[in-house]
Amino acid sequence: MDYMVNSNAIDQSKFSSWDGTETDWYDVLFEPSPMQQHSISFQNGTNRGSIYASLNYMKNDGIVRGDEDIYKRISGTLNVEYDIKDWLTLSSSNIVTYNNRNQVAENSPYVSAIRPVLSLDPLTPNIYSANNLPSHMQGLVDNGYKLVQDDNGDYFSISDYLAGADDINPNILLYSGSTKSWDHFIQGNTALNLTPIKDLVITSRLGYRLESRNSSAYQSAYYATATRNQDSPSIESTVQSIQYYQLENFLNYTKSIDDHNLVLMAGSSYSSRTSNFVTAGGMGLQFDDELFAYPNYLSTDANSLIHEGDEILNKKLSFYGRLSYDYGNKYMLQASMRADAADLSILPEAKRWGYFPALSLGWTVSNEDWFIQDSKTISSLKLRASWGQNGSTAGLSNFAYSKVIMNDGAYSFDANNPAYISGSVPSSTGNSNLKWETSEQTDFGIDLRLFDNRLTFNTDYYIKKTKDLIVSGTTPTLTIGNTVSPVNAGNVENKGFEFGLGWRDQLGDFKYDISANLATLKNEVTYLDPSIDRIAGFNYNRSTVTAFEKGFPVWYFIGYQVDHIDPATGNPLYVAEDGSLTEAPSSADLTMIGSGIPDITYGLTINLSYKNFDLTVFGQGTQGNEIFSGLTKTDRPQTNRLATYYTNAWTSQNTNAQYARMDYQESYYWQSSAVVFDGSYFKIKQIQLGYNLPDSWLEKIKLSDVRLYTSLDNFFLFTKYPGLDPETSSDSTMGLGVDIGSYPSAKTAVFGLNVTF
Amino acid sequence: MKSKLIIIVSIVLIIMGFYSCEDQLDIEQHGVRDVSNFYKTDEQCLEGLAAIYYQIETSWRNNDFFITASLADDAYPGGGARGNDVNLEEMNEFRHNANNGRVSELFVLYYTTIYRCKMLISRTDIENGSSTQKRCVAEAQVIRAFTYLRLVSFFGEVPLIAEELSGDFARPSASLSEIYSQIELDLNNAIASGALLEKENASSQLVNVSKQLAQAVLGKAYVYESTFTNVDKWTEARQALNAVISSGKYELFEGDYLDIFHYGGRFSTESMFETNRLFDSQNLAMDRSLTRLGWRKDRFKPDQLEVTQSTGLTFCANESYGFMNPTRELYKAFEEMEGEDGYRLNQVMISYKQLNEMPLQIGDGNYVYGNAGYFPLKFMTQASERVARNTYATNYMLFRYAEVLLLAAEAELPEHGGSQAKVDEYVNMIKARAGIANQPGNYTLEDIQKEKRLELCFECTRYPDLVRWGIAAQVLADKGKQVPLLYGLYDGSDNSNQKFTDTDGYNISWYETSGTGFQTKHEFLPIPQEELNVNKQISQHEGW
Repeated sequence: MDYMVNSNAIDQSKFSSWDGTETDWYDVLFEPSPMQQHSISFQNGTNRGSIYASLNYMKNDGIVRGDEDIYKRISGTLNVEYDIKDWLTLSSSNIVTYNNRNQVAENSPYVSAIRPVLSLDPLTPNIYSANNLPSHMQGLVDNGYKLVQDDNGDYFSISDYLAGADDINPNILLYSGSTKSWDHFIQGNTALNLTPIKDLVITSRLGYRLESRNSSAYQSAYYATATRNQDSPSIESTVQSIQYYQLENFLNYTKSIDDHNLVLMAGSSYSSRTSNFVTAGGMGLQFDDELFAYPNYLSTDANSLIHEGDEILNKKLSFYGRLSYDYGNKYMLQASMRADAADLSILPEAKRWGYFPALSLGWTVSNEDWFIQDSKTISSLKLRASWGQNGSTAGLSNFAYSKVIMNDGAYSFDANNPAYISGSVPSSTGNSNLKWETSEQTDFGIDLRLFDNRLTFNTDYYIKKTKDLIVSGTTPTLTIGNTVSPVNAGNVENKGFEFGLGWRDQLGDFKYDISANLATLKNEVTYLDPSIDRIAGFNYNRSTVTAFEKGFPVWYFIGYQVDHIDPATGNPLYVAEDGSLTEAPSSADLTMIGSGIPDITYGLTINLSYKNFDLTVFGQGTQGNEIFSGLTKTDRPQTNRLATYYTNAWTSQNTNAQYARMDYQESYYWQSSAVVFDGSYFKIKQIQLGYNLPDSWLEKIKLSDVRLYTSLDNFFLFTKYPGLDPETSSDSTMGLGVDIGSYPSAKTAVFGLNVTF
Repeated sequence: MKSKLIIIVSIVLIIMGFYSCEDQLDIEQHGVRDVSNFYKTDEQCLEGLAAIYYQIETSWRNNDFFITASLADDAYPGGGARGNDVNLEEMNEFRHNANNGRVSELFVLYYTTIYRCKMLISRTDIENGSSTQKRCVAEAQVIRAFTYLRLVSFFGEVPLIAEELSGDFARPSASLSEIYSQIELDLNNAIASGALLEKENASSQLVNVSKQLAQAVLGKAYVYESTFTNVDKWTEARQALNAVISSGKYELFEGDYLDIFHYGGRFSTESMFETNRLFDSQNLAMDRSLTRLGWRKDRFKPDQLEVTQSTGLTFCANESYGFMNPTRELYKAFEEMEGEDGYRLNQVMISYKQLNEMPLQIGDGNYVYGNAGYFPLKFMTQASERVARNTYATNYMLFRYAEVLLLAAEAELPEHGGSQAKVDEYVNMIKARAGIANQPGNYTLEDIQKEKRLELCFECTRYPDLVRWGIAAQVLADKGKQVPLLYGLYDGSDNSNQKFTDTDGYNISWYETSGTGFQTKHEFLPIPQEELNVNKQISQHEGW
């Protein structure tokens, strides 16, 4: 409260009417929620074939209260394999799935049901009964505004303190609309294996995935604030069908003569994806009720009509070959080559093919004759080196390279009547030289096993270079007047070490297995086309807060560096371009204030078992990554902020403060190092304790396996980050590490029972 | 066995051969046409022209209006609170630099229009084209000239791109005289083509740019060239502007002054160039800037909003964000000329005192940011113009006859070789319509400056006018050093936190910015840093 008054956001007099309420919005929005999963499976086989069938049911009521956030899935699997002839095998795996999901809006700076948990004021209760409304809400009701009520007729609160904030009581959204989706999938593959001669296998495999997707969104009329309201109901429904298939034919030839082992593989693949969708909707229904939330019941004066639909095709063709050779299990060589072709919607015809070779070498030192075979110390030692290239079209789609005439709006040259003429313009500047992006990885590694395979150790040094990086939305000059087609703009280099260490042993009935891994990463943009200075990334508060620039990590946080808070005034002093300090930085002083890419990632797994009990602990963490806390909107000063800005703020008593005085208003501050936090964390993702019923009991109840287990998922988190969850706090590639309010990973307690017949 | 093997292998090979046909990858693009033979038929040229008007309709106001009014002493950017639009605040306080996001947005905006005009002009074969095709090209020439005039008056020397760019796209800046020559060439070509449309009489409506608009823009270009550079084109200016006046196709609007800028008075007798937004719920060409131009209604007592609406005043739109509030200086200038009950003043803005009587009061503890007690009406988005959510049928006024009269008055000043009688005639026409009758005349440049400040406030002319008249440094010396926060009527109370002052009877807390007022370099906006970074041939204006 003092923070709001001191930061000028809310006047002191505003609080005179406060009734002493303190609302924990976290409790209002979230609840412990059950998740159920049931499965049943069947398996059998003969000498000619085998069959596996299973049925799964899963229901996950999300942690948001009520049914607005729920996920159901039913799936059935059927796998068969059958030897038709000695030289011909048929196999097929198929899964049929039904998904049903109700969702909650999240991860948008304007509309989020999650972020208000942090930003709403605690002074306002969740609901008011209809006969006890505060005057500002009563005034709205009296004037015919539709405020949202719960099932008992009580009104969800509209804060009097935060008039004009984008964040509103999350229940207003949950109770006034719904977003649903339900999908059916059939996917699987069917393959024939031919063995016409010894050592040669020819495989022909058809993969398929048929999808039927439906979604609908309904928002009833509501009023919350002057900027968050809707005066008529809106709907949007989408029906989409997708057919995907992939045909692969390849042959495998294996030959061993003495110590020479050879494997040859060659094949081709062709895939095709067809997606058809139709979306319809609009604003204005015959009656504002969910039973009318279908395009059929749009009112005659409905507006913002949505009528969209298209067929989108994607195809891909590849040829590949691989040769593997080893001599006496000591020296290994593998060489491969693949050629990929993209369709015309991705790359121009002349550049459609990309060729990607790879080579790897290995030396198992411990298999050498001169190596002390029966050593108690070193059980195995292997040296590896590899080099290879991969291609990517980086999500290109929809003919981005091509310059054609497309529609842009329509204009009526009649002052009073809608006599529209469609507008037509060239779609982009065009780039007929657009080609595959190539990533080249070089790796050197050692695998080592010691003490009778009890200790395993491996280490790698890797360099991954991405060349001809495909970048969209660049600007060769602002005078160009049109969208610029994607270009192969730059190179990125990632390099680092990877280490893995494990220890496994057994002491009587007590078995244990501990393993840890750690990887370092150094990421840098090594080249950017001279026509591009810096590519703008994630946009927040009307500023670019991440950027892609030569000599920096990809999508680093760009902002102002706060040097310290001036003890005399409480104003932050920023570091200017020339190193001097300034109270009013200019855009030239923008600099790197952090990066969402961790220097180190690590993980730890512990498996313990004693007789029929077992315990698994699994954790992971990062070090050296930062989080840009995008929870403060500069245009909404009345929203609550992270407590640290209040408790560590400059005051006349606390002049050596970490953060600026609370009434400091300049927006630079919310794009400065003051909103960048250490995002390092360690999280225990799972602790699972299990018990398998002893065989002697099982025989009595005619079951082959019964397992009871309990697990705590995501329960323990160690971090200095003051936001909700450092792990999920990221948004898209360009916004890596930018936290604008996302769904935290749920703390889950699972109790399970597995029964095998 | 052998034969069976051969059959199997050949079947497999046939299958592989069948689908590996590369032409499966030749997917056709939907909903587009070939660019190489476009702009060849009447329909195609009209579509190219529609794309130009559509872009102006949907995207000009957001930067063209907001930036030019913020730079001048017309408006405080306002919004919900400080930081709501950092780029505009920088400009309003003369703290902007080449990295300001809106500087590059404005630059890109104008060049996008120019690109669309250029495609139509350069790809249409007017030698052999139909009259429609000739007209489309002539309209594109007028709009291109109009856009370059905007560019040169706000940015000064900029690249002049008349041909289609390819390969190395970057171009150096052209001199002011080269740019004015291009503007005048385009307009003279368009006028000479005889293809431009004309209104039948003053009360008929025309959406397309007319021959008279071409003449008016030409006259404006000559006036700007004569004042921005050291050449004397006053004779040409008078000739072009008087041609518009004597055509009789335009007259000052005699209805409610406020209607000129709103749905009620669309394509009025004095409208020469405005975008056409129909009241049509099925075509919602959205311009989000319109929602920013309503008042910050959530700062008022909510239970009074409806009461005020029922007073009959055509009232403010609901989804509104409170940007662009008239400055105290603008109000004072009106008051000095017309008194506080002046007709035009009360059509252009409404004071908080007037609102308070309705009654409409700022909520307890609330404040309106960037407001000195004056709320806009001239361009305020009206509730009655609402077509659908976030969509309003408010046209954007780009050129009107009042500006022609005031430009002509300036060109007719005796020191420019014109006739004082015409100066007085033109200025008195403006004054009479504003309700200021029976004025003595003998107007000087200073009188024209005062009249134009009021008549054309918020219409993108104030800032270049101040610069070319050489009075910017004096008039804007203290602009943007303080921003008002309006808490209500001054009642003598004080809150030590806010340091309220009695400003014309309003309880205002003045926020001190780090602005330094107008400096010489502010005559023009800087070339955007983004352009300097990629275009090695261009150089920054002096001082930036």
